[in-house]
Amino acid sequence: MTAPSLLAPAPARHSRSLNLVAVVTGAILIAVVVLAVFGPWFAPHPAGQTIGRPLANTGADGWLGTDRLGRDVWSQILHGGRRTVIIPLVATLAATVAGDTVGLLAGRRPRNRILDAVLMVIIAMPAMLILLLLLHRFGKSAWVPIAAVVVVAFPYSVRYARSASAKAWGSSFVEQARLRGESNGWILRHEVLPNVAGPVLSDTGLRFATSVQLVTAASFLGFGPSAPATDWATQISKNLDGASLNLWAIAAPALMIALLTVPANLLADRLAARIEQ
Amino acid sequence: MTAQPLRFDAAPKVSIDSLTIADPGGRLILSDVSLEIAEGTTVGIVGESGSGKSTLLRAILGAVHRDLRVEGAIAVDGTPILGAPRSVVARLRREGAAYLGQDPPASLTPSMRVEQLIAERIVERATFRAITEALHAVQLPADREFRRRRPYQLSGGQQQRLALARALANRSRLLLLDEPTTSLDVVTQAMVLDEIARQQSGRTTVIVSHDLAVVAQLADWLVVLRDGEIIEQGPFIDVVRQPASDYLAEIIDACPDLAKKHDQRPAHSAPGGHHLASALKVDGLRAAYETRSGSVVAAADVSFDVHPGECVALVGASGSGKSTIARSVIGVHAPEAGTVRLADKVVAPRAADRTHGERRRVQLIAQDPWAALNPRRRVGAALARSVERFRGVPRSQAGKIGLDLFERVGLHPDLFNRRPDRLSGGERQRVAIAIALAAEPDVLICDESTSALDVSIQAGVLDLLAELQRELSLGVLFITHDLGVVARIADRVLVLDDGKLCEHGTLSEVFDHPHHEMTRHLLSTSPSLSATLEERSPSHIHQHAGGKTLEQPPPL
Repeated sequence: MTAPSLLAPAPARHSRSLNLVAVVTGAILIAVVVLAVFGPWFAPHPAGQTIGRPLANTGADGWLGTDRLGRDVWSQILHGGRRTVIIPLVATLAATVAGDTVGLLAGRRPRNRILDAVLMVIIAMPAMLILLLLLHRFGKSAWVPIAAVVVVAFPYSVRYARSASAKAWGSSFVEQARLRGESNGWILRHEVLPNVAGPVLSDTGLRFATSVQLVTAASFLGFGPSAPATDWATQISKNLDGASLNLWAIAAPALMIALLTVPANLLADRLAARIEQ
Repeated sequence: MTAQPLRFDAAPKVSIDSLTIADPGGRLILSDVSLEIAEGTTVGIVGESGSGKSTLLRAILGAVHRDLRVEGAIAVDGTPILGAPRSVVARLRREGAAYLGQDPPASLTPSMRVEQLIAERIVERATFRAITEALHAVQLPADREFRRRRPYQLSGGQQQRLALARALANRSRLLLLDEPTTSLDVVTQAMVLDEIARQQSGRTTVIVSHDLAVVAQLADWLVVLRDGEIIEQGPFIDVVRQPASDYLAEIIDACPDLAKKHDQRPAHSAPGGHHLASALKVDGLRAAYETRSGSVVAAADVSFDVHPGECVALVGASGSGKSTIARSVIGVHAPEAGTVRLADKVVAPRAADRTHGERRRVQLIAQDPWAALNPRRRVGAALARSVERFRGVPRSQAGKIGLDLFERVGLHPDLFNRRPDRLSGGERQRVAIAIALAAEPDVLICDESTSALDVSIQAGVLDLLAELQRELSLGVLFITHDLGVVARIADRVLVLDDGKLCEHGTLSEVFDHPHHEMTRHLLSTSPSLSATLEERSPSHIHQHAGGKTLEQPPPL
């Protein structure tokens, strides 16, 4: 009675598109990170070396032209990657490890007024203000933006991990675990953590994007590394005036920043969805 | 393509012609379903979860998920619905049909006022009078004050009525009901069914449910659906009295029914007052729980005991605090006063202060089989862990014991390494029972443990509990609002009203000679298939159904 057409399995569109996005974003991310970390070793020119006239167009000197001081844009990109990638990466890891730990434990008793007050005070302060204060006090060391990101991102990680874990902590399977005498550590590891790993991971992706934003904003405002050291945001800020002569001098570093943050976000989301399954 | 105009001023005829629906993987959800629903009749569709009954009902509204593949036809008054232009389907939904799904109050937008909720469903101009009529139709007041209220300012019963009024406000003659009473306690269920029965005349009604006793009160025609196929259909009374399929006979048998009291075992305590040691004894328990609107007294001086091998039912309406009593006994709710004795020894009120051995003695099986199991943990691992902790055996051995328990509760070993989301509700509840048994308890507390299950699945779980109770000499405290379930399993019954035990006695004492008003109220609202059949049968003569004698309902 039934037409055979109905019985043929349809292609599983959804999961395949999910994998495709994960593979593409993962590949882009790895490429950008590899370029950033190993770039200085295969840059055609040393950092800060002038190779021709300023703001030369594409092709004449180097395939992306030169910047306002006549330096090769491509080489500058390769030299500036480390700071742009590694500082936010280290900062994000530190902030989320600290924030998630506190948040996962705080999920046991989600209404803790003292913790709430501390978090609210930090959240109420503008991120840029915290960063600028630290920069003025401690100078241009690479540790300053890291510290700033940790301070700024910490309360958000805490709140996210706390609300994600509060449901698990209050669940009846955790209650059962308590009734059979399990320790808090065991419950955290076996009952709570598996339920929050996905959401917390995707939140980490988001945190990474915001910390890249904060670190690059500081550089853009002139608190970046001193020449010849460089990073992508500094390159954008210094070459803004020459945009009409060689657009690549700002477009290339901007593109690199986008290729770092957007795939990081998407990939974290996909990984989280995968853990959820 | 020009569709015939739909007319909505008379009860429509619905014809379903060899409808087949398959999911993207090729699994059939409905297979060659043909059904003629005559003008003005009520058709009840009965089947377990996953039998395709909701899919069928929604298909009548032209609502089939776009990933599903459909063959066959559905016509309302001769107008084809499947594959019809959007405008036709939209008009059918807006003007031609009233649909009420599970948990009707959830369909009420909390920020909208009563009059807005009604007005948006009225097809022509929503005049003051039209709204009044819609509210009066379901016996709700229609004064200005009431119209201005928002859903959360109504009682639960009023919310149910308002949802029904809203569905019917378009004056449609086609009423589609999808398990409208499944999440309700018996008292509210009786009220909603009464209201629906009042709305039936002049309408074509289709009601879908897993509970034959609910359908029995409304349906003229019964359709039994299993795995997407109609296995039996016919006039309701005839089909139920003479089921042609074993499956329907099973469903009839599984229906919790006041009139089907199980055989009483000999009483555990002699009438003279000589008591065996009780497994659980609660004395003078006082407990309250907090809600948004204040504190509710769950127990005011409640005392009872449970003997080994005995099932005691604790009965009361929803929200009467039955769960709080259970939680106080296992020590996760702090009572204000009272003592809990396990094996004749007073234990600390808080579980944290009890010894491991004391915690082992009493185990709780919760209502919600979803919440009780960690969704990220394989059920076998959870079970083995419980064995390991409570029996103090090494992990390797715990897995083996766990697997034995798994089979003991009637689960296939293949399911051992699954996550809970890959198990059905009944399977999950069996896992929960196995986990509780891992502790080798003296007392099992079942808090509405079967009320979320289909009746046929529920019957299996109840049988399992009765068997364990007998074989392991387990004391069972069964908390429920469903007296049909009580009739099936309990030896003694405690009735809770306003935090007090208003009645207690053996099953037949309480059911046959209820003293308290609350008991009588619960008895009269409990759906009973046999009683409904008696009422509806023109002759009132005892007849046989599925080889089982239908008894006279207990005197109320």
